[in-house]
Amino acid sequence: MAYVAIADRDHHLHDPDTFITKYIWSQDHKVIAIQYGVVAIGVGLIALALSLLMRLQIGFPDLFSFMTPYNYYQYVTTHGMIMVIYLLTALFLGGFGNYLIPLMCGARDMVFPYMNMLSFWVYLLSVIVLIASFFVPGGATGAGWTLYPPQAILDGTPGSDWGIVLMLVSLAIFIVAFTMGGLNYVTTVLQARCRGMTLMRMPLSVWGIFVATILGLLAFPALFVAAIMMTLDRMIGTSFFMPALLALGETTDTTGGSPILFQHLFWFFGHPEVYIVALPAFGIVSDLLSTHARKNIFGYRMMVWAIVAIGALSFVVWAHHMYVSGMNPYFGFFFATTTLIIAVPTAIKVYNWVLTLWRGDIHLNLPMLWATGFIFTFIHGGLTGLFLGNVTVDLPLSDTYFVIGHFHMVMGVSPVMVLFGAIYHWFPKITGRMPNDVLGKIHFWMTFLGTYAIYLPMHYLGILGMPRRYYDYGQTDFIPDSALGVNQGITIAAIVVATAQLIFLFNVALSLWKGKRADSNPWRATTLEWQTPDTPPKHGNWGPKLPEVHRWAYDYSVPGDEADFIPQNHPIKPGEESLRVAGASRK
Amino acid sequence: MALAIVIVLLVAGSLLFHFLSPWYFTPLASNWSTIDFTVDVTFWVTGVVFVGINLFSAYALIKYRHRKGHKAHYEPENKKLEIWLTAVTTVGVAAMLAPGLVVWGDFITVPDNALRFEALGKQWHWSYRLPGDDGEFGDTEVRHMTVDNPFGMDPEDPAGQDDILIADPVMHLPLDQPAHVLLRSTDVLHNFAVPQFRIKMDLVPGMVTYQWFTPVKTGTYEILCEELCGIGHFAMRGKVVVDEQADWEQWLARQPTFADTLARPVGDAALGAANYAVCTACHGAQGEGLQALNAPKIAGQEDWYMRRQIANYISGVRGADARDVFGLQMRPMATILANEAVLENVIAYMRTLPDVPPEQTVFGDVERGAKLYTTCGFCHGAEAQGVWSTNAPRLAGMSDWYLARQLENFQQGIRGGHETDVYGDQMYMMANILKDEAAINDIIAYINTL
Amino acid sequence: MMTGLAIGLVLGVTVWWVLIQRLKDKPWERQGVIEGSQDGLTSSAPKVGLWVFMAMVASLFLIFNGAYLMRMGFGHGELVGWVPLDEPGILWLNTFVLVAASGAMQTATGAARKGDLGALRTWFTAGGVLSVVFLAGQLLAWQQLAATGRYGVSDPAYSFFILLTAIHGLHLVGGLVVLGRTAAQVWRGLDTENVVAVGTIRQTVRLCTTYWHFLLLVWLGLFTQLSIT
Repeated sequence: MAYVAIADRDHHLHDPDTFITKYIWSQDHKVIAIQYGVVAIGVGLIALALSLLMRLQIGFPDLFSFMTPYNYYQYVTTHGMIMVIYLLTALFLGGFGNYLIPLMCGARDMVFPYMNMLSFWVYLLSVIVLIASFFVPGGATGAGWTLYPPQAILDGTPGSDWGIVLMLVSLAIFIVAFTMGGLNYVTTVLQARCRGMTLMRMPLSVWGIFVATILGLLAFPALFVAAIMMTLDRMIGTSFFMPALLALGETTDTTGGSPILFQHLFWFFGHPEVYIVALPAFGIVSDLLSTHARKNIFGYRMMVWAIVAIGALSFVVWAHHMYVSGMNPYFGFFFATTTLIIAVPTAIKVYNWVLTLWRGDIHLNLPMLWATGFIFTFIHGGLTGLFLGNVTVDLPLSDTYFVIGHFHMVMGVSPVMVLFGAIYHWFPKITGRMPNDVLGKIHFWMTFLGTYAIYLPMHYLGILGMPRRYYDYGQTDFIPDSALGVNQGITIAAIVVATAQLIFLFNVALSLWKGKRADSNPWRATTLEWQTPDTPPKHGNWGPKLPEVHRWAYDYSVPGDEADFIPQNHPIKPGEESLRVAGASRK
Repeated sequence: MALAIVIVLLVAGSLLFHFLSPWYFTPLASNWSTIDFTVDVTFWVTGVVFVGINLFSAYALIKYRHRKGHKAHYEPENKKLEIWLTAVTTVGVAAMLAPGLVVWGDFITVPDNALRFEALGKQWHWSYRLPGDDGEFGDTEVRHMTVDNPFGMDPEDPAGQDDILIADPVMHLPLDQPAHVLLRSTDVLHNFAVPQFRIKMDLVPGMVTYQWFTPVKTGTYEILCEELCGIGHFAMRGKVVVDEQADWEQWLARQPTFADTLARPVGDAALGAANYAVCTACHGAQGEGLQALNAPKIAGQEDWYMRRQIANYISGVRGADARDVFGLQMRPMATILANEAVLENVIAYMRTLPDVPPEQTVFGDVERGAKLYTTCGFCHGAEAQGVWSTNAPRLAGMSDWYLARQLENFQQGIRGGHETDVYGDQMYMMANILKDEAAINDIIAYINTL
Repeated sequence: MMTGLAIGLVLGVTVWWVLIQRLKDKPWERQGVIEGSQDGLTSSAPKVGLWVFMAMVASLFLIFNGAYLMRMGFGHGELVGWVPLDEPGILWLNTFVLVAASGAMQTATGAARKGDLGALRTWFTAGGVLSVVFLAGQLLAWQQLAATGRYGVSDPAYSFFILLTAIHGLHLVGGLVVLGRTAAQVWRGLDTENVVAVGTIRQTVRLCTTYWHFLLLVWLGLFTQLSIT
């Protein structure tokens, strides 16, 4: 069958002619990426504000009369859920995935642009439903972001009448949105790469996003299943997760259900979710480090293998979140072992980032500051993960502030460092303007030092034994008064970090308005997105002819070449081969 | 350059913080020194890696910073180096994992001579059960649970009759004897954690989980719930008291069996009327209360709450604080009811008194009070009617001025401050969510509308 | 647990395969445009998209399957309140209808390949109608179960039965939407000169058929599991 794909394709690009089709109902992956980004950052700011409210309560428990336990648990829950799902997942995959995949692979757009557009609008709907849960009777759910039943759907928890239902519905809608986007990302990587772009020539950003999307497509169904079953338990009284209960003096009609089943489902999604956020960050940071150190990423093959291996292993470690959940205790042996095995490929990635700096030509540009900041925070967060992943060490630390410190370091601060690095890095390409360097540096230092001041002490409060999700500690024998002092310090640091994010917003606005015009490749990078004929790239990205790729993504400082980078689409020069071989063997 | 220096400073600062800060494990009070050992091993291995990699990258950042004319080295990969790094990492990981697995094996293997007891969690309260002389726990089921049978004991099961029931959230354990804790929940997930023992395990409704430890130091240790269990999660506290063997046996002998609780005398209202005469002077003939004498309305209050308060007055848990002027007056009165039969008679009589709503004396912002009351309603009930399973007494239709004073007393620890007053301790934490002066009036104004 | 291992295994095999095939490349040594590599968007993109989607749906049903087994009591070592369901006999008939639908779709694909518009119309529509019959049969099965009055909502075997058949049915409904749109095009008549339009129809018919076979497989799996437990 003659299916004239490419020629056909150009007709199908739906060249936008009105404002609405160009910026609102747009099918252009770049516009969709920006829409995703703006909504994700917007909802992230809400989550940031919620975290400040929580911190005010923990730091100054006697001061703010509007903070009741009811509000507190609602804020805790919504903060967590937004940050993990609606900000990080959406921004990395919906935002950067959308923007980078077609550009880095040399495609004109995503494979299914219409579905891609729907993906964003459905995502927006899920966000609206989530926010709406604050305004229904009883307000948002306060079940903690893990939403463990039976508690999440019983009366003793805030928002157990409507808040929890809207939360579950919102998650289900989000998963639909993710599916539509995810099918695009995977299929585009597999089927729409330009000539010469083999899989092993793809930049690591694409690898990270690609594998993360596959994880998402396989893992989100678990959350979907859990959400459906819990909604049914709540709405019509099935007993999937509900055993026979007596709660607050009332018995339920349910019988035999298993609360632990929910936890298995939740974490079967929840652990891959960690890597859904982390793998794109790993990929993007590799590209940032390589570009700004003017050196190829060290051990590219190892890096790809590590991404794939981490992705695969992430499906067999989930129950390390459940060591003290009352599950069959013998599972502990298995999951501790798999969890510590996953540390090996992760460690290799860290070594290779550091070895990329080694013997490089490091330009500490704004994105590079964030990338190196990431190495530090990720080492910290990764190492504390070895405590919690090891079943016995987890015993005294589980459910304490150590856990809070750990996961904020590893999946809060670290990915956010990459996000900011990436935003500053690609800002010139996305907007055609350079971000303000001074403001960006202030933003970096406040965020980097501020977050460390927040999370380092938290680990020690956890070791001390302070449990998480406490509204107030009252008079607890083993918690010294000095711990309250620490909490006040943490709260103040959190306020500083939050202020820094306002500086970021100001920077974005200022740079959009008055920023220096950027040329098409300000960082002198090799990857395809910097080689577009226009900046920002026009609809269809490449003008009349698709690019052709002649080399891998990391030809920086190739021996014998006078420039310190050769873009991927530059043909081989005569004699280059021999120079390269000589250079590589000179070590 | 600055970044490299900052990284070095952060590494140094982290190490100093680790070694100098006062916030570290509480002194160990159980046999689980092996758990601490695994933590130490992990600290050493990860610490070396943390310092090593960060200093290396700081060095690289300085040494290879951009200088004019300098070009980066071209090296796509170095197989030998990568294999070495992988091997060393694997050894480090194994060094942490191996002791972890061994100790976990110990943790899930309960010694044969362990003392078995059950910890029963419910929103937001702990109670305990020992198997009694026959060494066997009786059957329990949720459908048996009532105000008179909070453990849900099967009354037909002979094995349950001698089970020792400890309804208060304070458990005593003998020193140096392994304790095997069976964990059961009636409503949601809870978690039995004692930081000094390093142990922690969830309670899951519908199944029985377990953990074990041997207490090796006498003293009182707090049990914290460490699995979010609803709005009162942070106030769900229990205690483990570790006694010398002899003290423990004495304590044990005082605890009632299930059969004992079934045999509680039935009150006789007619006899109670005579005993109640003493109370009339302050609380009024109809139990309606008298503000002038600072005596609250008692008619219509729940039986189980009366029993507990009288017991608290007698034992000095309540009314012993010098600041509690009116409580001090009540104490000697309460001792009249020290005899269980007398107490039951009086309670039976009080049940016959008419429940007339008292006059409103506290006014405030009802709307704000309604918002604040949301939290209170979880325990006291949406209608402030009182809920036995959360140990929360009735508030609606009771003396409002008295509620105001009690809230103030709770906030200042005048009430609930006694170290064995575990219910009061909970209310102490909850009273402190009212952070400004108007709040108490607002909330009581709202309760007056119920 | 079992689901996890199953997915882990599938993923592991895939990864191993990809590793062997592609990832041994040393990309810095291979220079220039590599011949045989793809050039822009390929014609098989919708097919790949469908396969990725089916992988996701497979994951969904495998996870449901895991939840089902766990709720039955696997991993707890005891069966808690699980009363096996008496499946209505009509399910056998439904199964037969769905097999027939799949067969009709397969025939339609053959007709599309040969360019036999008449046969394509007949068989493609037959596939759709049979699927609707299947769905109606499923509804009937629900009714029969409800009519026995033996099962309350809190009965886990019953609620799982309804939930699983409903999710499967919804996936079929989704397929029917695509099928309906394509069938309308086929009936409206085709400009046989328009290579692109004909190609698109052919591809859609083929993809529908793949999806129908897939849903049939899922149903057979579900039916087997529901019957033996």
